[in-house]
Amino acid sequence: MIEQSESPEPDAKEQVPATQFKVPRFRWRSLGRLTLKELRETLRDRRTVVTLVLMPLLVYPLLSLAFHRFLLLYFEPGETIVHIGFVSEDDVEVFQTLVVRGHRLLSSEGDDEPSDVPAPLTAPGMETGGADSAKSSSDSLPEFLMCSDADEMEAMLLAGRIDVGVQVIKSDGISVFELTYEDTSPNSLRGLKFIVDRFRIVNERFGRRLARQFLRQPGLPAEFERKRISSDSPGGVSLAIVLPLILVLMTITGAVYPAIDLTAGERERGTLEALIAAPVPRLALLSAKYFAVVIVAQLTAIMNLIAMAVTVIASGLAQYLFPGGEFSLLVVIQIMGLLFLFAGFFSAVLLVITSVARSFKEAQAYLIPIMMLSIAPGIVSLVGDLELAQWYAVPLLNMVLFARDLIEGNADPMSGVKAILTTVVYTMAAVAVAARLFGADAVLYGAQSSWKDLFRRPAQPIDGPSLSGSVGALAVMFPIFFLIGGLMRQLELSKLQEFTLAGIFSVLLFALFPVVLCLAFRLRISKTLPLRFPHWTGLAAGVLWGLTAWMFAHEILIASQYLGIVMLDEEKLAERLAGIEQELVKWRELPLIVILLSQAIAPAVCEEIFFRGFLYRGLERSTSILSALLWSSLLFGAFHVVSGPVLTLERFLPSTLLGLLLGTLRLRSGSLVPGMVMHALSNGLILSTAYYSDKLQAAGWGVKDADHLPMTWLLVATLAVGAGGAILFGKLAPRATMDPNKIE
Amino acid sequence: MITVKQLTKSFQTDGQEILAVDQISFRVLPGEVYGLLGPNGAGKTTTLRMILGLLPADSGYAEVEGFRTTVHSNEVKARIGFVSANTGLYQWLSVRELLHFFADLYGVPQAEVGDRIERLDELFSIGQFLNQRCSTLSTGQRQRVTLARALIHDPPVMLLDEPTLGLDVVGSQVVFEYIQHVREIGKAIIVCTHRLEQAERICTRFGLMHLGRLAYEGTLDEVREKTKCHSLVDIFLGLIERDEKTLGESTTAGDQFNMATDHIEPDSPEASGHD
Repeated sequence: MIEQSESPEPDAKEQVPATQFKVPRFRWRSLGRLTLKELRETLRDRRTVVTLVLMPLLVYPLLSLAFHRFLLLYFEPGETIVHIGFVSEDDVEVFQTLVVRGHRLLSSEGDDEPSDVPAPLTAPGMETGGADSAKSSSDSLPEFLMCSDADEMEAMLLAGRIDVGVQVIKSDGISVFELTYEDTSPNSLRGLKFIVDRFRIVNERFGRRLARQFLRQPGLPAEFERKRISSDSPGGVSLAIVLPLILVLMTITGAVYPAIDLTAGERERGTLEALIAAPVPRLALLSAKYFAVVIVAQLTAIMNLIAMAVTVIASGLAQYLFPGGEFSLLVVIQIMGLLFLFAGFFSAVLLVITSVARSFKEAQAYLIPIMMLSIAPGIVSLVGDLELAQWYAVPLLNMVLFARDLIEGNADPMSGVKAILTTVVYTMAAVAVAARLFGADAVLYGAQSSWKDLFRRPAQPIDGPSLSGSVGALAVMFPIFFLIGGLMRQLELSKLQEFTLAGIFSVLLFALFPVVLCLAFRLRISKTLPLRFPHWTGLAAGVLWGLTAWMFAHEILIASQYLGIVMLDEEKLAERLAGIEQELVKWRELPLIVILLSQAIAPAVCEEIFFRGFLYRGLERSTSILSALLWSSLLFGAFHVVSGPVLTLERFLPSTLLGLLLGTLRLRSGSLVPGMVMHALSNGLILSTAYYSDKLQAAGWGVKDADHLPMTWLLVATLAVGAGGAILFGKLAPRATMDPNKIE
Repeated sequence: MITVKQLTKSFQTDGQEILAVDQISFRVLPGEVYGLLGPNGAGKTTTLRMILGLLPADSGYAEVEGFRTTVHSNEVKARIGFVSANTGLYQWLSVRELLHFFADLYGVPQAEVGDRIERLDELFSIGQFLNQRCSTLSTGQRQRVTLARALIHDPPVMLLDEPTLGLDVVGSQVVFEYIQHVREIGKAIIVCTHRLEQAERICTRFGLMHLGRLAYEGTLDEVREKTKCHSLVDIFLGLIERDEKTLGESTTAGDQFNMATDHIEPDSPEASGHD
């Protein structure tokens, strides 16, 4: 038998000598320097430089050559004739005159001044010229076809029987040629270019003549507007949408290498263990890596955009690719913004994958399917007629659809904001997951499956979730909440069913889910979700604030609307108010207790369990009490902005204020119960006044949504909130109410 | 001071539970160099990783200056200077940048970092290659940088895992001098090594690990007294021979422990079942 040592047995109860060592705490503000180190390391690596500089320098000129070849086939076909459709016979004559003039001017370009440039379309005495006199070197004159009406013209255009449809319309009192083209058809683009080239030169010469003669004439002779229509056929792909997709691909390329190098590379180089042995939260380490990857990805995107723009302009491809003139500076800036968001999300996803890998090779093997998967939404968005409003919650797809809508100039701001918000939430979730996986035992010491680390139960109970754990839980709940809300609205349920289901989902998502997480990860429920009966001072403050704080929230809401912090314009607001009135009629068919239980008490109890329990505890353990209070309140406010069927930005400030009060209650009382009381009372009062609004109105107590509250009410509320604060922070409250288990 | 009490860790490998560290207890006081010795696979590195909080213990605990690793992991990490067997460095950073990075990780105030680097230069003569990229350093230079990195935050406790691995005589001498220095300035040190002749030179007390258990513990004289052997090498050979007899295994000690990583233990479940 092996002899057990005769070592001096340490006595756990023995006093430990006080240490002289001062432990400096990690400061989040040094995150910048950590990021800088990661960037320095990445940017000095020649593999990054190749992706960042050489790739764009080589790819775009080569691509432009290929495009040129492709476009030449369509645009310079020699004897191909442009087919132009008209609705009115009258238009044909005017159009023909101008095109022939342009044709002649083009073929004699460089000559001094033509003598027979026609007067404006609207001007009397318009000259006509002989069609036979124009002879271009490469283009034959177009063929004209008549269509019965505008619809038939579009149908013929889509069928490819005509290349461009022409119609004279009135715009601001001036006759204008509306040139309808199909943006996915090379022939149509070619036809458009044929006409535009000729109109332009006619206008230009006319302008010169006008300037010379000081003539004042309304409009140009060949005033025109482009009108784009798109084919639904699967083969039709607009080049203007393909380009952002190429940019997306290049951004991905830029992010991949640093993501692998900064995570799996740490393990391969043997630096990971020393890094994990440092007293720094994993989320901080991972955040520094994340920012570095995003910056490199964005730099790659910028380099690519510059290379692409220079190539497109220098090679003269712009006029073919963007005959509609979409390549404006605004669009470029918008696309850059979206690329930034895309890079942010994609980098986070990359880090999740590469954090699990133990070597470069392993990471590359994981990434190939992910890259294929990330291209799929782009392809889907090109061929289908998907709407952003419906698909805003699908990552990557939402960004591509938003980019498409921006380029086409018909982006819906509401859906755009939703797409951006959901992407930000997914990004947070991915960073949190990556932080949990990065440097996990299995990755560090080479065990078989490191995904298990996500669900690893610690050997001993711990006092609360980690920062990444609580943020991860929040990020999982957001999309589920949206999904359930959306589904319920589509199901056409009765009010009773809707309220019951909403109550059940509140319990499942905000209460049961954190409890399950506590049990699964051995988090002490007494510390994470403290439901102990509080001291009476906590309860008293909760009741006082619950009865009155909503009045301040109401005033802040009105102030927010006054300041213009609203997502709804007046028309929509009126619509919504009318909708609320209708809702109230339906509500009153139900007993008040059902509404209070499902809409006031259940959400109050459950949201407290999550926001002031699970989320607050995770934030508190990794940051400070004050930042936990602030961040949990801000997230609570943000949650109420996006929780309804429409975005209500004006709810942010009042909900954040309530969050701060609720957090203070939790902090001072050490229990969630006072917050639940306050939250339920506050919700209950608002709902009850709405329920009885007509009766209150009749009794002269009514308050409309957009009205200020009477001054006496606000005075009472101020006194009550002050009294609550005095009770909570005064001598009556027990001293040691703050949670003593502040760790790390 | 480092306190380890009843520390136990097992791993699941191919569905089998392997006991890597089995209820070990010891204590290291300031100014002591504790040699945690044993063949590859004895459980030394796993023990160090548990003290550092990189691996959770199944039972038992480790404390550094009164802070328990499982509860106050960052307090513990901040008090430890860790030199791992792997001297991996960030190849694109200069030595100075690397030291600044670790100073940041350990919260050393920016204003102090320059002075600390100067002091480390006096100790390890790293000044000549401070501005050189890490990728250009020789093995000995890399080891000196790794030792300097572990001292940048001036911790009261040092954990060194096979610090002379791959070093020649001159390189090893630098490590010995380093350990001597940190002992003199009152730090509590644990050195893991399987090079017993080196351990004899530098350690003040020893813990001899085998098959996850602490077989003998004490000063060199105390261990000699217990085992009636003169050198650590003889003590170990005797220990391995005795365990082989106990376990009735035909495999040699060399076969049994010639594993690359610490926690991958002998294949047969019997091999790890003691007493």
